Amino acid sequence: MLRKGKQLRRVIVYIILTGFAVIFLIPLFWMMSTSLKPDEETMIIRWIPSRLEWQNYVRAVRAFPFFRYLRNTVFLTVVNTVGTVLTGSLVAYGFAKLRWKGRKALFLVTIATMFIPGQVLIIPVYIMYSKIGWVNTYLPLIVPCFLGGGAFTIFMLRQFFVSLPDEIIESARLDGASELTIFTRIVLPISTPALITVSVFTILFVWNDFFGPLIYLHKSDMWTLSIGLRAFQQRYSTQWNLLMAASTIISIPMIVLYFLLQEKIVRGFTLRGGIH
Amino acid sequence: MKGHQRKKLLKQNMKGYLFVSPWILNLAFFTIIPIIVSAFLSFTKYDMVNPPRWIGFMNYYIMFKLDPSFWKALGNTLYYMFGSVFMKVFLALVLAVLLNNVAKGMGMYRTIFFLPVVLPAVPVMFLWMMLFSPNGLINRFLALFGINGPLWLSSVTWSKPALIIMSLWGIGGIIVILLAGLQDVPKSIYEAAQLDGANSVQIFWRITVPMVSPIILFCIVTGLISASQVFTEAYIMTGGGPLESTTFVSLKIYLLAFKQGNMGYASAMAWLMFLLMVPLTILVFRIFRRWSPID
Repeated sequence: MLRKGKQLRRVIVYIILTGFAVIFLIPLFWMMSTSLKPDEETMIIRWIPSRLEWQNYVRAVRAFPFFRYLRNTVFLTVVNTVGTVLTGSLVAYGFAKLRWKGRKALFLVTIATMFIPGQVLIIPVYIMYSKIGWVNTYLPLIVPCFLGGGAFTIFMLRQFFVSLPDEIIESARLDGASELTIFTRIVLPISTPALITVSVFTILFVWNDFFGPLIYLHKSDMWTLSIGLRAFQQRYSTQWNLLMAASTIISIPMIVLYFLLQEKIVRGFTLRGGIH
Repeated sequence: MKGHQRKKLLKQNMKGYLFVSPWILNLAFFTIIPIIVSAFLSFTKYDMVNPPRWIGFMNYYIMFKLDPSFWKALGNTLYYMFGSVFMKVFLALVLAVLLNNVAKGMGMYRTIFFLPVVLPAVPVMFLWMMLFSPNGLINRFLALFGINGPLWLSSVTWSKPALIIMSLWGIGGIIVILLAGLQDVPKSIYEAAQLDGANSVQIFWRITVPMVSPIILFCIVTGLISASQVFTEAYIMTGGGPLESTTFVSLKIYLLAFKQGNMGYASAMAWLMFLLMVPLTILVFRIFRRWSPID
C-alpha cells in the first residue's frame, strides 16, 4: 500500500515536470518553426510548416548588414573576453594569494558593487566618455573589461585561487621566482577550468548585451547584432518568419555554447548564490 | 632588523597594489566617482552643453510634487518587481523541489529549464511579442478553452502581467541556485518527518522552505534589485505604452538623460531609486558575506 503510494507520487512528479519542460520548450520550438514557414503561413497556427523554407535564412541575412554586425559582435566578444580573463585573473590573484594592507576592505567593497543598481552610475560614466570623445567608439564597451572585468569575475576567480595550495606558491617564491612568473607559469596553467568559466560568462554577457551598445554606438556601421536586429525588426515587423530566422541565427551560437559547457555555466550560476 | 622588516612589508604591500591596480582604477572611474558625480548632478540643471547649474532640491521637488508621470513609473516598476520576483521564486522553488525528488532524468529537465537563460535578450523579446500578439499562440491556446484572450502588450491592464509571464521563462538561474541548496539538506531530516507521518505539503512548508530560506531570501532580494532596472523589455516590446502602463523608472531615466538631455533630473530619479534600493543592497550583502566568509 505504502509502496504503491510512493510509486504513484513518483509518476505524478514526472508528469508535472514533463508538462513544464514542454511549456518551456514550446517558445523555442515556435521560434524555429516560424523561421522556416513560407510567408503565407506565419500568422496561422501550424506547428510544422507545410514546406521548410530554408530560403528565409538567406533572405533575413541579406535584408540587413548581418555580416558586418556579426563581425562587430565577434570582435567585441573576443577582445572583451581576453581583457577580462587577463586582468580579472591578475586582480583575483592579488586578492587571493598576496597579503597587503586594505585587502579585506577592498574585497568587501568589490562584493558590494555587485549589488549596486547600474542606473545610478550610467549617466556620469556616459558624460565622462562623451567629454573625452569616446562615444561612437568601442572603447566604452572595452576599457572596463581591461580593468579587471567586473566584480563577479573577480569574485569567481578569487574563490578558485584561494582553493589552490599555498605550498606550491611558497616554494616557488623560495626558489626566487618573481610573483608575476609564479602567476603566469604556475597559477594560470592549473586554473584553466576557472578561466573557461569566466570566459563563458563574458561571452554570454557581451553577445547578449543591449544597453551598452544602445547608448554608446550611434553609427549604424558600428552596431552589434542585438542593436542591428532591433533596426531590422522596425523595418520588417510584420514578417515574423524573417525576424525569427534572424533571431534564431543570433541565438544559435549561445545555444551551442550552452550545450558544450553546460556544467560550467550552471556551476557559475550557483556560485553566484554563494554555494560551492 | 626592524627597518628590514618594514621594507619587506612595504614591498609586499606594493606587490599587492600592483596586482589589483586595474581594479582600483575600475572602482574609482566606474563606481565611486560616478556615484558622487550623480549625487551632485541631481542638484543641478545640466544638458551636457552648458555647465551644470545648481538648483538645490528643485529636481526632487519637481519629482515629488509636479511630475505625476514619475509616480506612475515608480508604481509600474514596483508592480513589475514584486509581481515577477515572487512568481519567479515560487515557481522556481516548486520546480526545484520536484527536480530534487527525481532519481533519473534530473539533468535533462534542468538542461531544459535553464536553456532560456543563455538566450540573447532581443531575440527572446521578439519571440514573445509574436507569442503575445492578438492572434498569437497564447491566445489561440486560450481559445481552446473558450477564453477570449486579452490584447496583452497592447492592453493597459495586461501589459505588465505579460512582461511578468515572459520573465518566468528565465527562472532557470533561480532553479539551479535553489536546487544546489536543496541538495545540501540532509536526507535524514525528510526520512524522520515521513516516519512521523508528515505529508508532502507539510514537509514542503515545514522543512524544505525553512531549510533553504536564506537562499530564497537571497534570490528574492537579488531579483528585486535586478527587476528594479527593468529596461530592455519596455524599450523593445512596448515602448513604455500603452498609456505609459509599462513606462518603468529606468526607461524614464533613459529617455530623460539620453533623448532629452535632461541629465540633472534623470540623475535625481536614479538617485531616488538607488536610495530605495540601499536597504535591499545591504541585506543581500549581509547574506552573501555569511555564506562566503572572506577569510
